[in-house]
Amino acid sequence: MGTNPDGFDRFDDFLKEWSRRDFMRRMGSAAAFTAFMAGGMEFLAACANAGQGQPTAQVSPKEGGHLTEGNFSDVKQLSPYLISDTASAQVVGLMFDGLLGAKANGDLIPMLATEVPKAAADGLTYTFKLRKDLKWSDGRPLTSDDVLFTYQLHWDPKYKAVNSPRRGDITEFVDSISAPDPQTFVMKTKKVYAPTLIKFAQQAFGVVPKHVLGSVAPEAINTHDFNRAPTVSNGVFKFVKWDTGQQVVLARNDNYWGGKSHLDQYVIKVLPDQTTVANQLKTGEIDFGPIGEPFVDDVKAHADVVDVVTFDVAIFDFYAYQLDPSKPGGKLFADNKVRQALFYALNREQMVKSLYFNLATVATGPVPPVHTWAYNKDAKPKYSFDKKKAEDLLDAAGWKKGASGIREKDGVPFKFEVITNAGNKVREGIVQVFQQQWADIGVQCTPKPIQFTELVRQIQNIRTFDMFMVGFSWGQDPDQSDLWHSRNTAPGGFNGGMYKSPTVDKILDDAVSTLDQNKRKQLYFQLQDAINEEAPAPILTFRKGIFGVNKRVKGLTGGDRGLGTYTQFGNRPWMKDTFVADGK
Amino acid sequence: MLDTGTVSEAAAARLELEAGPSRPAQSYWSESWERLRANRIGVFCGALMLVLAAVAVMAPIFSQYVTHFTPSKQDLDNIFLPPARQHWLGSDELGRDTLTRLIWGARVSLGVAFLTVAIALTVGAAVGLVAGYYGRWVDEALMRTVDVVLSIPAVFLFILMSILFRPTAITLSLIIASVGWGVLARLVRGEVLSVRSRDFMLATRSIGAGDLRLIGRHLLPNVLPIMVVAASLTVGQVILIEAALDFLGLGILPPTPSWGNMLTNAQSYFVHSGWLVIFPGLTIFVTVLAANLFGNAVRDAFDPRLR
Amino acid sequence: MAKYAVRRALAAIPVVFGVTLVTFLLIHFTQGSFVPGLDFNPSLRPEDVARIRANLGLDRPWYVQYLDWTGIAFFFKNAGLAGILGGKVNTGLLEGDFGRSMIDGSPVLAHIGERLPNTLELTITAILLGVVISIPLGVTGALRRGSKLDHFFTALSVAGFAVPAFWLGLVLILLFSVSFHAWGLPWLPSSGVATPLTGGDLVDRVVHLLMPATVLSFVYLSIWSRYTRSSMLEVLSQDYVRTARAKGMAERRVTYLHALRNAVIPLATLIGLELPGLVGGGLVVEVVFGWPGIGRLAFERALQYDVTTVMGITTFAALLVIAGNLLADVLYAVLDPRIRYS
Repeated sequence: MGTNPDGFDRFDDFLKEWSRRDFMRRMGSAAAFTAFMAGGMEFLAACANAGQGQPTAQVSPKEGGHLTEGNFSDVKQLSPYLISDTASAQVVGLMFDGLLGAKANGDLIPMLATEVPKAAADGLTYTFKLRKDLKWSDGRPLTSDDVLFTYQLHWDPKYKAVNSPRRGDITEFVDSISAPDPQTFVMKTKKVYAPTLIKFAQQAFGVVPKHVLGSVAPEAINTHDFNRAPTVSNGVFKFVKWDTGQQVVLARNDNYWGGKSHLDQYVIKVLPDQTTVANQLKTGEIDFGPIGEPFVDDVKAHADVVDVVTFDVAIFDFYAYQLDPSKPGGKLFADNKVRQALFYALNREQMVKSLYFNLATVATGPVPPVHTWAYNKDAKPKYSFDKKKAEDLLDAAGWKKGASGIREKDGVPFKFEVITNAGNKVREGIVQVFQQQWADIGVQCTPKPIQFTELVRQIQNIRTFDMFMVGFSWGQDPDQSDLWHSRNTAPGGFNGGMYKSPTVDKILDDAVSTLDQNKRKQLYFQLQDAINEEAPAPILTFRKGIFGVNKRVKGLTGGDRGLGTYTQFGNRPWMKDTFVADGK
Repeated sequence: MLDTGTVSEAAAARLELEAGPSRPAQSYWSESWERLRANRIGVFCGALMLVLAAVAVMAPIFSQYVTHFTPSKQDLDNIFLPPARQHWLGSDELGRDTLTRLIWGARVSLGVAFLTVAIALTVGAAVGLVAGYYGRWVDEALMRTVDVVLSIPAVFLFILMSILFRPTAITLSLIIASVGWGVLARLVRGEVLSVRSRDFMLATRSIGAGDLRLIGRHLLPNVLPIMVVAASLTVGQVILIEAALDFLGLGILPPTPSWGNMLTNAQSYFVHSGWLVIFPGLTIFVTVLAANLFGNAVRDAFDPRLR
Repeated sequence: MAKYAVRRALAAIPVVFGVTLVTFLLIHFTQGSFVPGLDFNPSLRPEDVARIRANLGLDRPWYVQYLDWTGIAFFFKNAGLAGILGGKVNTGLLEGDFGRSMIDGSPVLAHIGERLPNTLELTITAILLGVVISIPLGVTGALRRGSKLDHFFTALSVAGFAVPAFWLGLVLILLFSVSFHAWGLPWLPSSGVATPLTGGDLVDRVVHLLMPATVLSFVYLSIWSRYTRSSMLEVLSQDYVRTARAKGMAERRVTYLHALRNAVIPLATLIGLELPGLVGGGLVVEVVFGWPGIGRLAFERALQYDVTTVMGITTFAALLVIAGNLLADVLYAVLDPRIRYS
C-alpha cells in the first residue's frame, strides 16, 4: 500500500461507481477532469512513493512515448485460449482482460466484471455482471456472448479440437456456463470449490471476440491467424505486429474500459538469456525486465539508470524423494526419519547466500509466506541446519558408516542420483551442493542434469528417478493438491514421488470444499505440520521477484496494484497508469 | 583405363619402380618426419599438445599433489575469489578451484577431440576406401549416404542427437564423429581414385592380388598421409565444436567440468568475476592454436600433394 | 551437358528423402509424450496432453506420420494409401506443403521466409567482410613475404582460427555494448536486427549487424587470408608473371592486373565451399547475439519438439545445400570438360 492510502481508496471508489466517461458526462468535463486527475494524481503519488519511500511529490503523467519490456523466454502464441507459458501470458495479458484480475498481493479485483461475485447460497453459482458499454478495440460492443464463447472454447465439447491446455481442469469442476442477458454471465460448479474464481475467472480465460472467431470451425481455430495476429482485443493495448524471435509491438487501445493508457506503444523484446536482459537494462535498450540473482548487484551499480524492485513470490525450489517401494530409490527413502535426516543436513542459509546471492528466503514449510492467511511460520518440525542431528537420525535408522565412508544398511550402500533440468544454473548449483553436503554425512548423491523435456517426462510418467529437484509455483489459492494429493500419482500428475497419505488427501479435499476462510486456514495449518513431519518433498527456498525498472518509467511500481507478487506476469491492472517521464 | 591382361613379372617389377613406391618406402616417411622436425614452430606446438595431454591424463595426480583440490570440492564461504595464493586462478560460484577444473576439463575436451577424430577417421577411411576401390554402385550408394549426412546442416544434427542421446564424453564423440566422417570419406575416396588408376595398381592386380590385399597393403598406405594431415587439422576444430556444444547446453553437463560448460556458467558472472570467463576461453584458444599450428606443420611435411 | 545436370539432379532426390527420414526419426523417437510448446503446467491434465497430441496427429505410428508429412500418402491416395491414414490425407512435401507449426499454427514456410533473410544477411555480410579483409591481408603477406608484417598477419590469421566464436561474442558485447555505454562512448546494441519502433533504417541495421558479422567472419578471415597468400605466392612465381616483368611492365601492374586476378579465382572455390554452411553455420552467433535467424529458430523449436517446423527447416536447408552443390558441380563441369565424361 502507498503512503497515502486515502487518496488510493478514493480513486478505487471512483472506478467502482463510475466509468470515466460516465463521470465526465455527469459532472461536466472541466470539473470532472480536475477531480479525476486529483484522485488519479494521489494514486500515482502513492505508487511512486511506495517504491521509493520519499515524501509525496506531485507527478503528473506525461502523455505519449513507449515502454520496452525485455524477457528471456520466447513468446509462443498470442491468443489467450492456447497459451500456457508466462512469456506469452505477459503479452496476452496486455491485450485481453478476463472477468477478474488481482492486486499485487493476490486479492481479486473486477476487470471486465463490475465486482468480484460471491457464490450464491448454494455455494456453486457465480454471477458476473459486466460493465456497461464495454467495447472491443474495433469499436464493437463486448457482451456476455463474447464471454460465453470464450468459455465454450475451453469447456464445450463442441470445441474439443481446440488445443486448450485448461479443458481438463475446467470440465472437472464447472457444471454449466450461461449468458442469460447481454450484461450477465453465470458459471456453476459441480461442487463447492474454493479456488473457482481464482482458477477460472482471471487472465487465463481472457475474453476473445465472438465476431471474429465465432464462425470459425473448431478444428481451424488452432491454426487461425488470430493466434499470431490478434486483430481485435479488449485490453490496455492492441496488437500491431510480431517480429518472431525479436519483439511484439503493441499500441494503445483507445476503447479500453479502464481509460486510455498514457503510452502510445508498448514493445516486448525477446532476448536470448538473462545476461542480455541485464545488459540491456544497463544500457537502457529495455526499460523494464526481470533480473536474475547473479546480476542484481551489477544492475544496482547502475542506479543512475535503473531502479531494482524486489518482492516475495510464490515460486519455490524443492526436491522430492522417490517413495514407490518397487523402485530402488523407494527402498532408500521409505523411512521418514531418513528423509528428515537428509533435510537436516542441508545448510540452506548458506545456499541462499551463495547460490541465490541472498535473494531468497529459507522455506519453513510447503505454504509460501505470500499466502498470508494460510501461512504458518511455526510449522513443525523446524528444519535448521543440524549436521549432528542428521547423523544421529541416520544411525538410529540403521544406516551406519562403512569402511569407505559411505553409510550402508544390510549391505546396501546409501547411493543415489538426483535429476534436475540442465541449463538452469541455480538448480545445477543446488544439486551440486546436495552432493557435497550429503557426502559430509556419508551419503553419496550424484547429480544428473537432464534436458527439460526428459525431466518432465520422468516426473510425470516414467518415474525411474531416485530423487528429482525442480522449481514450482502457486497461484493465489493455497490449495496444494497438485503436489500432494494421491490422485496426482496417476501418470501425468505432478506427484511424481508417489506420495500417498489418506490424511493429507482428506485435508486437501476438505480445504477446497468449503468457502469459509477460517476453516480453510485451520486445515492448511494441519497440512503444513503433516508435510513437514512426513517430508516427502522438502521445500528448500522461496524465491523473490526481481525486476529492473528504468528511471524514466513511472507508475509501474508501488501501490497495491503495481508490480508485485501476482502482478508480475499476465495480470497487470495498473498498466494503463504507467507513463514515461520523457514522453518518448 | 585399359586392362593389359597378363604382364610378365619383370615388366611388372619395372612398372613398379617407375611409377613410384607401392608400399610406403622408408624414405617417404622418414623424409617427411625430417621435414616436420625441422619446423620449429610445429615441434613446439606438438610438444605443447603432448604436455597438455599428459597433464590431462595425470589430472588426479595434479589434484592431489599440486593444487590440493578436487574439481567438485565446494567451499560456499569462499566463492568468487580472485586469483591468489590459495586459488591460483581463482574460485568459481561454488568455491571450486578454477585451475583444477581446467585440468580436469582438459580430459573431457582433449579426450573428446582425439576420440572423435579417431572414430571419424576410421569410419571415413573405411567408407572412402571401399567406395573408391569398388566403384560403380557401391560407390554411388556410399557417396549418396555421405551426401545425406553432409546435406543436413551439422548444427541441426547436433541438436537432435544431443536430445536423443544424453551426452557423455563417449556419446558426444560419436555424435560429432557422425557428422565429420562424411568429409573424411570423401577425401579418402578422392585419394583412392587417383591412386588406383596408377600403373602399379594395375600391375599388382594383374598378378593376382586379391581385393583385401590390394586395399590393405597397397591402397591404404598411400592414402595414409592424407589421413594423417586431415586428422591433425581436425583436432583443433573438434575442440571448438565440443566447446560450443557444451556452451549451448547440448554437450557435457555440469558437474563434470569441461572448458565449454565452465564458460556457460561464467558468462553470468562476467562483470564481477571476469577471470572465470577469461581463463577457460584462453585455455581453449591456446590449445586450439597449438593443435592448428601442429596440424599445419604436419601438412607441410606430409602432404603428398605439396611435393 | 544437360544430361549431366539431369543425372545429378535425379541423384539428389533420394538424398532429400534420406535427409527427411533421418531427421524425422531422430525427432520422433526423442519426444515421448511431450506436447510441443507447452510448459510445466499443473493444470494440464493427462487427458489434455492426449487430446492435444491427437489433434496434432502425434499419436499415429511413425511411418503414418512420415508418409503424411512427405505428402507421399497424398500423392498416392488413389492407390489406397489413404486407408493407412484413416481416410484423411493431407498435402505434404511432395506437393510443396511444409505444414504448419505445432506451436503457433503458422505455416512453416512463412516462418522460414521471415527468418531466413536474417540469417542470410548475417552470413553473407560475414563472407563479404571475410573477403574484403583477407585479400589485402593475403596479398600484402605475399608481397612482403618473410617480413615482420607478414609474420604478424600470419599470426593473426592462425589466432583467429582458434578463438571460440561464442567467447569472442561475449567479450565484444561486454566491451562495445555495456562498457562503452557506461563510459559515455558511442555504443553498439547487443541483440536484434534493428531497434524496435524507431529503427529499421540502413544505419541502424548496420550498427546491429556489426558485432555478430565480425565474430562470424573471424573464421573465414583466417583460412582465406592464408589461402590468398599462398595462392598469390604461387602465381607470382609463374612463368607468365616473369615474362610480364621481363617485358618491362610496371611492378604494380604486374601485381594487380595479372597476379591478383589469378590468385583470387581459387578463392571463389573456397567461398563456394561455405555455401552449405550459410544456413546453419551462424547458430552460435545467432544465439549469443539474439539474432532472429533460422538457426536459432531450429534450435529453439527442436528443444520444444515442434516437429513440423524442425522438419521444414532441416529439409529446406538440405535442399539449399544440395542445390548449391549441384550448381557448383555443374559449373565445374562447364569449366572442366574432363569431369563430364567420367
